[in-house]
Amino acid sequence: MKSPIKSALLAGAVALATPFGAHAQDEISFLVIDYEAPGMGDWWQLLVSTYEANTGNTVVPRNTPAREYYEQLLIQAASGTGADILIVNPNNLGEMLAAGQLMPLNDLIADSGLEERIVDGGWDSLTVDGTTYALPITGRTLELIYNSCYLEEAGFTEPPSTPQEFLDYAKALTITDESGRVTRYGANMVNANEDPTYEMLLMWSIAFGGSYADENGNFTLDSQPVIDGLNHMKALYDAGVVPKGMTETDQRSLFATGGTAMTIDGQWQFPFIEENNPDNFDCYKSASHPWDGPGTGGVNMALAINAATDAPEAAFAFLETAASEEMQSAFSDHSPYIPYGVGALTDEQRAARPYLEPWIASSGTAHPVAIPGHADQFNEIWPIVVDAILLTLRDGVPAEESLAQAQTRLEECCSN
Amino acid sequence: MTSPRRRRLDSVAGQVFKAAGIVALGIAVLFPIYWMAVIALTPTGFSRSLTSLVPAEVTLENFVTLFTERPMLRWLWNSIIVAAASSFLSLAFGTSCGYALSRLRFRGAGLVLILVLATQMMPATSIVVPLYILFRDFGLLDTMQGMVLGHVSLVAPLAIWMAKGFFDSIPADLEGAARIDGCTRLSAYWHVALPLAMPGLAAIFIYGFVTSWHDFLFAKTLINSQALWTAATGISSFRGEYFTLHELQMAAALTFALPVVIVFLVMQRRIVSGALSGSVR
Amino acid sequence: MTRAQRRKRPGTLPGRFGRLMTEGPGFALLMLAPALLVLGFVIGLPMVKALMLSFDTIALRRPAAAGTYGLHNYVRLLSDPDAWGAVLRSALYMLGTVAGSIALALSAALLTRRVVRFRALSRLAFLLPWTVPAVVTALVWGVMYDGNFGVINRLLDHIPFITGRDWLIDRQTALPALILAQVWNEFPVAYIFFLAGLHSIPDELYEAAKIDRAGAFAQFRFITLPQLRYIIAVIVILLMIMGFKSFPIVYILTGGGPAGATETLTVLTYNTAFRTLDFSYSATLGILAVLVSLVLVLGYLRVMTRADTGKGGAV
Repeated sequence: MKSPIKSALLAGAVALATPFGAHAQDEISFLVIDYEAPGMGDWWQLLVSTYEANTGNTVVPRNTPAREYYEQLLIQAASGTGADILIVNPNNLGEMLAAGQLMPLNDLIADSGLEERIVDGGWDSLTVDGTTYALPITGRTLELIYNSCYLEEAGFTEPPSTPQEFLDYAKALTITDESGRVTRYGANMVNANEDPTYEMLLMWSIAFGGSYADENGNFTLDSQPVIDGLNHMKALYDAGVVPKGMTETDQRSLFATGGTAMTIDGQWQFPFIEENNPDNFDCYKSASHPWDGPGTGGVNMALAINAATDAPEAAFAFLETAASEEMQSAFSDHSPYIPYGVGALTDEQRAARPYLEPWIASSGTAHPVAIPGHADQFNEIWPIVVDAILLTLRDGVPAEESLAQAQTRLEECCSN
Repeated sequence: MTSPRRRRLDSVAGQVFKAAGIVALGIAVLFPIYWMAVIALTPTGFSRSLTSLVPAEVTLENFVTLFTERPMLRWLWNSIIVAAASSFLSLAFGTSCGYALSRLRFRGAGLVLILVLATQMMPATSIVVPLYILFRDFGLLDTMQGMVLGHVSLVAPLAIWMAKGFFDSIPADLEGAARIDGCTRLSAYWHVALPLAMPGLAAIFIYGFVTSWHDFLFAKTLINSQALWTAATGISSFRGEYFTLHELQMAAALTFALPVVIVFLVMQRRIVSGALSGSVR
Repeated sequence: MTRAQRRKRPGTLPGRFGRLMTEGPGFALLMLAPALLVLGFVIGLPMVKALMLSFDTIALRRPAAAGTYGLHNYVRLLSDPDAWGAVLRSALYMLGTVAGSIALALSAALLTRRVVRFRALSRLAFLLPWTVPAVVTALVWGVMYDGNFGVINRLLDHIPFITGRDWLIDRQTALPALILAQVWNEFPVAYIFFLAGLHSIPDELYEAAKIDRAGAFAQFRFITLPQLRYIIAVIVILLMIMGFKSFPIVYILTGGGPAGATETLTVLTYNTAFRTLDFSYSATLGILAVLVSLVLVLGYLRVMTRADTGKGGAV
């Protein structure tokens, strides 16, 4: 790629760019998560092989385990060796942008007609000040999933639909043995020292009519809805109806194998249950999150192009392949996520997976996890919020007090 | 004066006491390993709600998945190559350096020892970016050679310190005698000092092998292509974004331990051979 | 030098070169260079770069600030209570893991040194925890420590007067619980070297002691310990460094919580780099870690040497 002749050829190629970048023998690197794992990994592999077959270019995958991905992304960015194609999400998009890592895609999207191929609102969380930086691939929100067999046993015919009902159900669904030890929890609620705990409170704050910030991006952690949300979490915690201190991934396994009756989580639960707990799969049902107003979530994997790439059109052709009808319609066969392609989910696919409906319904309207206006500070903000939550849950500090402290810390570290 | 019979009784009691101690300590130490096995034999997803000391339902499914759905064999093979190469090199480099520091008197030897140690004191997080840049500049990213080099740098400091310790405890007269017989320094080192230090060398080799076997920093940071992933990276990939596949991970960890066990069984004979006992002193 | 030039004087150069390399200063170079070169290249250079980084301003969120050199990171460090709290916690953690590992490893090595039957097996038992990667160690102990389903609390049900707790959530038990997991994982390192060290002690010393009718404790006190002196010193230093730097077990099990009760310097360094994205301040904390480790190790060495010379020995 470094020879002047090749650069000249490249420049020519830009002028002649066809939908699938016709010039051959470009090599692009791709920072990809769990490339070898079954499921989503299969789709990434399909994407790479389709792209290579269509363009004649080669893709060099940089495979990273999910837990190491963020660190690898930063190390490679900090040392100026980022891959040509990066997987990003709205929580780190701001950081990568501030670091000057991302290429603006507006012109390329407009020229290629890619815009219409993505559902309404799909681009929003990847657009900063009118400039779009990534193509949304997967999305998720948090909705209610419940074990209908347990609910029936306890005499419930309908899933809970308000925060209060959620608490009452959770109490009724918790079972203890003779020694007083819980053998089945009523509900999942992440309360470990990790970022999902941040989203738990965000979710309940929305349920009580608020959020972490107002429309101008001013923090509102000490506002009444957030206090109500934290008190609600405290009520669940103190009632002993949610597992204490267990990480999110462990709580998921617990729910999938019958150790919990309800959870508010993503759709990936279903394929996991189908594979690992098939006998009880029919018990698991989904419903909309138990409050009025939006759920939380949004895009969780998007493809961006490194600003420093020396093969921009080959890289963009990769995004085009990912957005193509061919790839989007194959998406649902491999992945539990909701794809962002228009009409990507066929009626048959939806009929085969009726449980997906609550996520499909809320996919365009979800409240983003990162605070709007503070998207590049997500990793600085969540530990402060989680500290406040744990202070109230574990150490009994009143919600008003711990949230006021968090508000002060946030204003100090992250105010605009 | 104690009678010989009394002394034998004493030693029998001592033996029983020792055996009981080994068994008790062994059980305590092995319990987490046992628990790993229990988890590995539990169907995927169910380990979080185990309520008894034995698995409710035993399955080998996790081990099957490991070798059919994940490239476990390739990961293991990569690990074996890297660990064998780097432990051998560390042993060679470390013992020669340790020998020099033990036998040759030169100014600054103490400083060298401390500096060597200081290379291990920096938290990985602080050097990982410079390290990445360095390896990129020298074309060592994504290569086995790079990984081996990295692992040697992890093992060498302790190898040097340990080797110096073991050589310090071997009397220098023996090599002196060999030198009078016309040996060069190199052959005195090779033919006299090294064999005497055998138990220590075996221990250093085991240490080097296991350290390389476990390394995650170099393996995950400097290796991008999945064909070169080591088993340590593979195992940590079971701690996924949405589910931690404890059962698969424990099955993988148990499989992962096997090569180390083999190396240990082979090398521990060398530890026992104790060349120093008897005639030497 | 070209090949033709070398051919002009056949034999002499390789011979002289050979002699140079097997005797005198050449020999020293041959013996010292490989290890020191690798160390200097792979770790030394990045450390120097990290040192330079600590005077720079490399924060990913503010790329424009790069190149602003100065002492600002060190000034900030001096008045950063989080950093000094983390140093204290790291020191505590280090102390706990070193003491625990040495006690466990030494007991195991003394118990198994003369085992004849099932020798390999009994030794393997004490090696096995080392074969478990730190990530997996963290996960299996996490499962065992769990407040409700965890096997530790279930076992404790059968023991009177001890009640189960939420080990990793409880502010009082979190740090000891982490130390225990770390000791379990790393004590075999010490065990292996103690075993090798014990086998290097000539049997004659014990024979002589027996003739003098020295008891088991006296033998341990006056033969085993002095003979193991150097090995113990090196192992303690190694364990100090390992304990001070330990990351995965703390990070996975508590992430530094509850409320910062287990936030060690390594965890803080990590969070500074990968959450606040301030690589320069993170490097400064790394330098602090090196300095504190150096002080601790040198202090320990001094104490050892003084104790030694006091008794008339020498290291």
